[in-house]
Amino acid sequence: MTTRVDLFHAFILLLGGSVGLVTALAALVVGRKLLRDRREVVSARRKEGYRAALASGDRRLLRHALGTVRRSTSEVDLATVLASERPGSDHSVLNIEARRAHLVRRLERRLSSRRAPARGRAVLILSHLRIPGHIGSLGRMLDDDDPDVRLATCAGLPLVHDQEAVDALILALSHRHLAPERVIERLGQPWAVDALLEELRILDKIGERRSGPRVGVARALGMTGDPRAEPALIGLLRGGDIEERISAARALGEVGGPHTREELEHALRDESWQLRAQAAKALGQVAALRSVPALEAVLDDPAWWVRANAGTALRALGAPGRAALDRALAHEDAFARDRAREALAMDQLAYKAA
Amino acid sequence: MELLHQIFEFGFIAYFVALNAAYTLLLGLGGGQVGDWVRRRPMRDFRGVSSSPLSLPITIIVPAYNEGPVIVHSVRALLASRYRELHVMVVNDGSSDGTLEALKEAFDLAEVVRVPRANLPSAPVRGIYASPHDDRLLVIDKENGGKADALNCGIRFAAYPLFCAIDSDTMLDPDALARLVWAFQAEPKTVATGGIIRILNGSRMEGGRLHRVRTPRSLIVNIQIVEYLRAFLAGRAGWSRLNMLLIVSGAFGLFRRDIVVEAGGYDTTTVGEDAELIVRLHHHCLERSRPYKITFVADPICWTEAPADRATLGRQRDRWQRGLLETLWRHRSMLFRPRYGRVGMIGLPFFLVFEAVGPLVEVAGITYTVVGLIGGWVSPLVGVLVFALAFTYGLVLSFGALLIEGRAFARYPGWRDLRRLMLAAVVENFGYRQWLALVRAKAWYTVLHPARGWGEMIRTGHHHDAPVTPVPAAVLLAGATATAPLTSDAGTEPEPVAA
Repeated sequence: MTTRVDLFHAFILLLGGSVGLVTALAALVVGRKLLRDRREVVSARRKEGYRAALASGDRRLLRHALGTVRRSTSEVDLATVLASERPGSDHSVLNIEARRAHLVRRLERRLSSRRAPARGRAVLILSHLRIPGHIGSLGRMLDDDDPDVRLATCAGLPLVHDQEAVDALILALSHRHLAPERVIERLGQPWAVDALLEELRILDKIGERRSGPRVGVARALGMTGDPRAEPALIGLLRGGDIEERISAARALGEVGGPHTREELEHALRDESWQLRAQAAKALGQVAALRSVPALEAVLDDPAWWVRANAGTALRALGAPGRAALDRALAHEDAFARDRAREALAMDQLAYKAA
Repeated sequence: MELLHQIFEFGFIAYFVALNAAYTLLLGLGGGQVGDWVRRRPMRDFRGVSSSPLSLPITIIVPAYNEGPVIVHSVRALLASRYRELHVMVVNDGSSDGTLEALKEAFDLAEVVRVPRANLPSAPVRGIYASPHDDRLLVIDKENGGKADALNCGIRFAAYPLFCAIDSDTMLDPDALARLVWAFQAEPKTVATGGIIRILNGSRMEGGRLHRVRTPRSLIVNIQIVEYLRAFLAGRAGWSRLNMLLIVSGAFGLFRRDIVVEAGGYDTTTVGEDAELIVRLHHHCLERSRPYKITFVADPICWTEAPADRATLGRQRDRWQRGLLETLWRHRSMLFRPRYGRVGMIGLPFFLVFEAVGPLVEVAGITYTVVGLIGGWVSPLVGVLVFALAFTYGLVLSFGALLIEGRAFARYPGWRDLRRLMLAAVVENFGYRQWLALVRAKAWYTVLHPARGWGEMIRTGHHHDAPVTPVPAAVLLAGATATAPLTSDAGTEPEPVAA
């Protein structure tokens, strides 16, 4: 009898304990949701406040709003609002008030924080504030220990549109801390063209032997799409090492210019199949109608990629290109016929669908 | 006899405590990892990654076997992904339901010649097709050889340095690829990374996109949602923090192509080709003392449909367990060998002791307790205590995962969803977990009789135009390993650097 009573008590105890546990865990989950919902409301309100202060141009309101940016949540909200701003909007008043509200000082202190997310948030806000003359402290963050901070800095520096920012990024091209592509994609902007061309001149002047920096600059110049880069890129295509020449050919395809076609046609006869393939692709990109014979001639190139790119380029050149492909259908070389057939088939299908 | 009982009881209790201590530790580590991701999220420019022409380009490989009803929709959705440089490569694995014809019709495919760039073995290729409307799409038609074989075939023809292996019935969040690529760009040592898989059942789709995330009414699916959250946010995030991640889901993973080729591609003779590949990558890199990282990223989301009936779910879990057992067997040489670092000393032993043997111990424990209660050598008090403890730990882990989810992502925003998930977290302890342990224990038997297909996945059709029909997802286990004849001048060409 006693055992039964003990068992009953133990059962009730365990049942009660389990119900209690479920309730406690459920309360935790529900509490977490309530907290999150509330935080979302507060964050939305805060962002609205920042937007209103920025739009009003009222200095006191702006200073008050910036003065409240002290915690990580408000920093994230301010960074979000600043990131959604129209590019090129005037930040002079914002900069003055950010200093008066001691926000800039606080953020600069944050740049030395031990926590990477705090450093990253400071980088984000400082770069969005676009304060001239502050590049030095931001530029140093390109060498930060944390990859996220380095990438955030790399993304943030170009927002400042400052010669110093371009210099810091160009310098980062030679660093091992960042993949060159991450820097190049940020440098490939029209405002950086002059600095990039100057950098090429400096590299020649100092006799830089490594191909990395020139390759990076050439690719960035290509991304700008600015024809002013043509002479420098042609120089690189003629005289650089193979990596530099391939990069120059690629960039010329994006930049174009009066002499691009001849140089690329010349590159089609190079001994490097990679350069020939890149040149064929670039000729298609610059839509050089006069290069149809040169492209037709490489349809039987020994390298598959050269033939493939030549076929695609001819297809992109419209009627003259298609005529060349038609002729290549009777080519003595099976590979050339193969490429021409494929390019024409794709073209006809596209035409039919249109 | 008494001593034997005591040994049994002590053994079960010790195992139980060790198992749950390990899971609790993983929960903590997973929570930390996800928290870190959330704190770092604001400084990561994912939009920049998706739009940059210099972001690492990706080939999405979609192995397809009899996916006729969904394939066109899936391909369209993948082509609409927010990522600038990508190829979508559908590998039709000898479908007999008109999968290829559906693709041909929808995309006006024309036969083309492409050069394979690796000599991985795969069943013979019958034809390669491209679309004149979108040069990012490539369709490879090959003889049936299994999912792993189809993936290997895709890798052979993939032109980009990264490839994403994805199931044809899954759907990606718009920024999912950029988020995964971030891991490779921030940490060049990364060789593979996986995102979280979430369950689509119950959610609303509009215009081919996920419009509203909702939990379904089905209890069995809600239980799976909780399971997935536990597995990904606690398990994989925790393992990733320790750099001991042993699984990247086959439904959504991003890999460095050159390393996978070097390691020999997917194993065509196992049902768990996804886990096997990850363990092999560890094996490969550790043997060569190559610095590497295999990570889990908690935010890029891939949505997939979960089995809504017990039979399909049972088959799926049986397959997963068999995959695990086969992987452990194949890489048994890594177990307890200091040469393989923490993977060999901690990761694999954990999977062996708790994931592989765990279901057997659980079933034995349940059987012992029930028989003991009937036989009278186990007191009812102990029986109730054991169950209450198991229940308690189960609850702590499930609610812990719900807490992480709620704090970091809150993808199930409604109160109704939360109520359903909490209910599922409680109810799964009464019958479901025990049934699952039985299914997984049974896999020890079925692993010795491998001549079975994937079974049928009953799809309710999450796409608007997808008819509600059973789609056989069977890709035969024993894959043909014949090397495909190299077309044209294939295999003679070095890797292009600038094309």
